[in-house]
Amino acid sequence: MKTIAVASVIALCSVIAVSQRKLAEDDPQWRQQTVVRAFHEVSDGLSTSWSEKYLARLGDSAAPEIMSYVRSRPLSNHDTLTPLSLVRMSFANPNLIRHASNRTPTNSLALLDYLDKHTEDSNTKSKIKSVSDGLRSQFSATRSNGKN
Amino acid sequence: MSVTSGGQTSNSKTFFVQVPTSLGVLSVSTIATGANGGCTTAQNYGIHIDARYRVKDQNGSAIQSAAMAPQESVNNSAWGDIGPNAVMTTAFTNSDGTHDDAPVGVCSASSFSNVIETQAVRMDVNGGYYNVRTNSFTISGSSSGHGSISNGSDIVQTR
Repeated sequence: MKTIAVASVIALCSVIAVSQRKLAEDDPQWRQQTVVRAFHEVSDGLSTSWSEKYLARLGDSAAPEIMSYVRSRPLSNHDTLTPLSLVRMSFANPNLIRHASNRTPTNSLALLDYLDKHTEDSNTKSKIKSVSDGLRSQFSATRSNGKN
Repeated sequence: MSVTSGGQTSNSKTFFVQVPTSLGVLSVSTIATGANGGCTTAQNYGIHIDARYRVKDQNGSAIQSAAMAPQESVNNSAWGDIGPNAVMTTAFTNSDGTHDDAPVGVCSASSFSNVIETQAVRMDVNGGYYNVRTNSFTISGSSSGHGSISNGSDIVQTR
């Protein structure tokens, strides 16, 4: 009986330890590092598996870091397309997003709105609208599925 | 270890505690363009692979446990979980101590050569960390649908 009790306590502690693991995605510095790294890679025309995976786990929590990085530098049309790609990558696979709250694209839509207001190029505006519409329809589909 | 009770000491018994020490490569496969984790048709230069590993102890024997979380630091960045990913559904190893790092690689819309990515890997076991491997990958994409990745030893894949 005593053995069973001890084993149960050890098992319970293991479960608690596992469930309390600190996720890298919750570390603001890690998020910032991930976004800056991805920004440079995408600007160079590359897409690494690591940035794809990490951004896909961040979902909407990537947007404030993207916004912060975008605001820290002058924006060219080329630079506007890069954050668009990062937003796409952040919602590439909603199942991988670690926190359910980050499946709602609130910050991402605000970022797209900001990018739209800071570009005059009609082609870029059209691409921003396309990503924005895609996020909205993806979100409403997710919400409908959640209700069913 | 021995036990003393009532003034009497038992025979000693030696215990072997398995510690994650290295990762062995079980298989390497190319992830097809358009498949989950693969390059896309828009960015089809380069390669994405699925590398399946087994965690080994100090003696090179497999550690059969699902309580290990593989983590990586790429180019000296902060550590993050390898899973969940295109194959792993959780952050943890399978019950036989294996896990799939997938995808691994680089894709692009145009040719590129000799991109270097250094991946340090460790195992998180209930908050204890054990360094098990470092891969220095060289990745190239010569033309659409083609690419290569190599760590110079046990991971060499082309398509």
